[in-house]
Amino acid sequence: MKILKVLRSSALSIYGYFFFAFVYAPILLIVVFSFNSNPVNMMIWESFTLDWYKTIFGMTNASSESALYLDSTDQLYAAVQNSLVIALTTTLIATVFGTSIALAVARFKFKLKGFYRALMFMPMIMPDIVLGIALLIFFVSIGAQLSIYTIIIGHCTFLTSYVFIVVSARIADMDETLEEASADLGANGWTTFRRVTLPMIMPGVIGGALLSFIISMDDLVITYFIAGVDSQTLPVFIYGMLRRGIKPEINAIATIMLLFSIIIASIGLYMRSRRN
Amino acid sequence: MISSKTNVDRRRIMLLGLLVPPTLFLLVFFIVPLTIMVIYSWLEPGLYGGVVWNFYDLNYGRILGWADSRYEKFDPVYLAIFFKSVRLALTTVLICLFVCYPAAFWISKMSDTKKNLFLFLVTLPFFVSLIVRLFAWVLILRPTGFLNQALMGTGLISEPLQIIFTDTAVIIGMTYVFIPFMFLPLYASIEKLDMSLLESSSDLGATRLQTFRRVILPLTLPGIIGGSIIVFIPALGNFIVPSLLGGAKVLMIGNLIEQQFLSARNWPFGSALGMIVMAAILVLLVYYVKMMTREDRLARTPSIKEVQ
Amino acid sequence: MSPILNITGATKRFHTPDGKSVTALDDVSLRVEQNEFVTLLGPSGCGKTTLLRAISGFEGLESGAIEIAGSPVTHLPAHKRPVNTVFQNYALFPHMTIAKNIAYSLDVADTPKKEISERVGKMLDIVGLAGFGDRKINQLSGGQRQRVALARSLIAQPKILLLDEPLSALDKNLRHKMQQELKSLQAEFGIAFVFVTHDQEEALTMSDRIVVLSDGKIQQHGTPEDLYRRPKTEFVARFVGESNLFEGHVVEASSQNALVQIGNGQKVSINKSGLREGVKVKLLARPEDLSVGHNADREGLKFKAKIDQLFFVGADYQILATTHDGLAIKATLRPSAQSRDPIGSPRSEIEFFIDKEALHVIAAEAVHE
Repeated sequence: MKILKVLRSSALSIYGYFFFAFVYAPILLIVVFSFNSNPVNMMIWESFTLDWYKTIFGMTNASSESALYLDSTDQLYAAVQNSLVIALTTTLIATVFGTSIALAVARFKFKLKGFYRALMFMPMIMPDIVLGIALLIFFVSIGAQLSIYTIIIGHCTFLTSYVFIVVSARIADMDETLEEASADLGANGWTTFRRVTLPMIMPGVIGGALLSFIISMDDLVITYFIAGVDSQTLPVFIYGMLRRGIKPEINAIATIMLLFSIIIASIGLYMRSRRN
Repeated sequence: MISSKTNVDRRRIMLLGLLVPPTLFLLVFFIVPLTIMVIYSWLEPGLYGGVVWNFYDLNYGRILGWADSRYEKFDPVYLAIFFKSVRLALTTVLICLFVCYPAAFWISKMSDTKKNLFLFLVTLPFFVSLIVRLFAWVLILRPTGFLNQALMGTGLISEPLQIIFTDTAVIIGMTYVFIPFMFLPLYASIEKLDMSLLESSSDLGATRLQTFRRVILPLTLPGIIGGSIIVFIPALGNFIVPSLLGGAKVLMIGNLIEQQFLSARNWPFGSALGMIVMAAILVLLVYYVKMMTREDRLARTPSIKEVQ
Repeated sequence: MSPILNITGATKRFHTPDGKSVTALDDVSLRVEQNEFVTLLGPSGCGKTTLLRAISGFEGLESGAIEIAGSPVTHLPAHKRPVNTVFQNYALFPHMTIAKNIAYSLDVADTPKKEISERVGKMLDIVGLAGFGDRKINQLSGGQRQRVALARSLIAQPKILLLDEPLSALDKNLRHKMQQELKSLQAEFGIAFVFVTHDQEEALTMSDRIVVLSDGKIQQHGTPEDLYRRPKTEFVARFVGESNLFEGHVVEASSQNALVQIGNGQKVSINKSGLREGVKVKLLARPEDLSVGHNADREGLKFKAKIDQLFFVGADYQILATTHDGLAIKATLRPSAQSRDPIGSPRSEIEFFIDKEALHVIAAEAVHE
C-alpha cells in the first residue's frame, strides 16, 4: 500500500517535470541554437559562434554567405524603436485610464457602474482579430493615416481593461477604513488620495503598467491590422520575416527578446514578493 | 455618504474628472469602431474594395446558407471552415486541460517557497513574446527541424515526418501558447481545495476514482470551465498560429477574416465573419453565465435532496 | 457649562438592496460632558456604530443636529470635525512607520517638522512605545497596534475621542490591561471619550455613563449602577448583567407602596409609587441578591427549588436551579467566612430567599414617578 502511494506521488512529480520540459524546451532550443554557426540548417549543431548577434548589431561577420534577411538592420532598429515608443506611451495612457475607471467604480456611487464593468470586460471576451478589423475599418473610414499613433490608440483601447482589472483587484484588497481614518485625522479628499489611497494601490498600478507594457510590446494581431508600412513593430516585423523564410538571425533576435521578457517578469515578481 | 452639499459637489467633480477622459476615449476609439464594424457587416461590398451604402444581408448569406443567386450558388465552405475552427479550438482546450490539470495538482501540494518558484516558472512563458514561442515550434516541427533530426538520428524514422502545415501542428502550437491561460484558473480552484475533504471522502469508503469523480471534479469545475473559456476565445479567432504552423493547408476562420481585409479587400464580408465569431463566443458566455447562476442558486438553496 | 457633544433628534435610515429600509437611528438625543467617559452599549445592529460614525462625520443624518463644543458640525465633513476615532481594526497605514502614522494628523495640517517630531516623541512615551517610531506596522503585536492607534488619534488633541469596539480583537488579559490604560489616558488628556461596545461587562467597568441602544433608540442612559440596579426596561435588565425576572401584576396600590403578586401566587409589598392596580410588572433580582434559607424577620420572596447545575468559580458558587413551579433561577452565592461547606449539589433541594428591598420593579408601561 505504501509503495503504491509513493509510486503514485512520484508519478505525479515525474509528470510535473515533463510538463516543465514541454514548456521550456522550445525556448531553450532557441537560445542554444542562436550560437550555432551552421548557416544552412540551424538545427544541426556545427560550432559556437556569435555571428548572428554581430549581424543584428550591424557588425561584419565571418560567414559572408549568410544573406541577411533583414533588408538592413535599420529596419530592425526602427521596429524596436517603434515598439518601445508605442509600449511606453500606451502604458502611460492605459495606466491612467484604467486606474481612473477602477477608482471611480470602487469608490464612488453612480448609476453607470454596470456599464463600465461591462465595458472593461468586453476586450477580454473579444478575439483580438475582431478588435483589429474594427479599428482598421474605423481608421480608414475617418481617413486617418495608419501610423504609430493609430497603434497607440488601438493598444490603449484594450490595455485600459487590463490595468482596470489588476488595479480593481488591488483596491478590493484594500481596507476602506484606511481612507476613513485619514479623513478622520483631518486630511481632505485630495490629501487622502495622495497619501493613503495612491500608495496603497501603487503595487496594483505598477503591476497593471508592467502587464500593459509587456502586452503592448508583444501584441501582434491588433497591431498587424493597424500598422502602416513604415510603422511596423517588432512582432509584426518578425512575423513578416518568418513568413518569408527562416534565417539564423531570428534565433539571436528571439534570444535577446527572451532575455528582455524575463527581466521584466522578474522585476514584477520581485516587487510582488517585496510587498508581501 | 457625506452629508454636506459642497462635499457632494466636490465628489461629483472628482468623479467626472476620473471618468470623462477615458469614457470619451473609449467611446470614440472602441465603441464607435465596433459599431461601424457591425454596420459594415450589413453593407454591400464595392466592386473594387470599399462599400456601397445599401442594406445587404448576403454577407451573412454567403456564410450561413443563402447566396446571391445571380453570381454564385451557396457553398458551405465558410461554414466548414468555421466548424473546423471550432473543432481545433475545442481540441486545444481539451489538451490544455489534460496537460495542466495534473501539473496544477502537483504544484498545489508543494511547500510555499517551492510553490512560488514553480508558479513563477509557469507564468514566465506568458511574458515571453508569442512570436518567439511560435517560432520555436516552427524550428522543431519543420521537415528539417529538431524533431525530425532527432528521430532520424536515433533511427526511428528514415524519412522526415510532415508535421508542420497539419492540424496537429496548429493544435500543438495553440496548446503551447495557451497553457498559462488554462493553468492559472485551474490552479486557483485546485489550490482552494480542502485536502481534508479528500481524506474524509476516502474515510467514508470512497475509492480514489470515486473521490476524484464526486469530490475533486465538482469542486474544481469552476476552474476547469473558466480556463476552458479563456483558452477557447483566443483559439477560435486565432490566425497567427495557423498561418505560421498551418501554412496554406490549415485555414481557420481567423485566416479567412485576415484575407478579406488584407488581400480580397471585401471588408463587409470580413466584418460578417468577425460577427459570426463574436456571436459564437457570446452564445457560449450566455450559457456559461446561466449555468453559473444556476449553480449559485443550487448552492444557496439548502439541500434540495433533503426536501425530496 | 455647555456639553462638549450635543446630539438632538438624530435620525438615519439605511436602504437595503431589496427596497426595504432599516432605521439605524430613531430620534436619538444625547449630551456628553467635558471629560466624561460615555459608552454606547447594545447588541450588533442596534445603531451604536452608526451613531459613532454620525459623530465622526462618516454617516450623514436624515434629520437632527450635532454640536461639538457649542458649534454645529452636522454638515461638516469628517476631516473638519474636531474629533478623532480609534477604529475597530485600528486602520493603521501599513505603508508608513509608526512615527509617520502617529504624525499623520499633524502632517496633513502642515505643522512644522520640529514640533511634529517633539509631539510624536512625547506621544510614543505616553503610550509606552518609545524607541518604536521607525518600526513598520506589521512588526507590532495587537496590543502595540492598539497603542499606536490611540496615540495617532490623540496627538491632534481632539475635543472628543471616539472608540469603535477597540478592544474586541484583544485576548482577555490584554483587554483588561488596556481597559485600565484607556481610563488613565482619559484622565491624563481630560477629554471626553465615546466608546462603543457590545460587551456589557466592559461597559460597566469603564464608563462614567452608559447609553443602552436597541433598534436605533436609546433605551436608557445613566451611570453603571443606575443601569444595573434600576433598569427601566426588560431589555436593559437582560442586556446589562445577569437577571432573574418574575412576571406579576399589581394587586393593591397605595401612594407609597404596591402589592405585587407574581406568577406562583406569592405576594410581596414593594416600596414604589406611581403604580396602578392591575398593571403588569416584572420584578428583577440580580443573582447575588438571592440568599439561602429563610429569614423570618424579613419580607421577601421565597422559592423552593432543585439545583440543576452548580459551578464553583473561586469566590462564589453560581447556581442554576428550577423552582417547583417551573421558574428558572440564577443565583450567585458566597459561602460565609465561618462555614466553607459546599452549598449543595446538583439535584439537591435548596430554598432561596430574596429580600423585598432587593427587588426592582419594571413596569410594562411607563411609570410616572
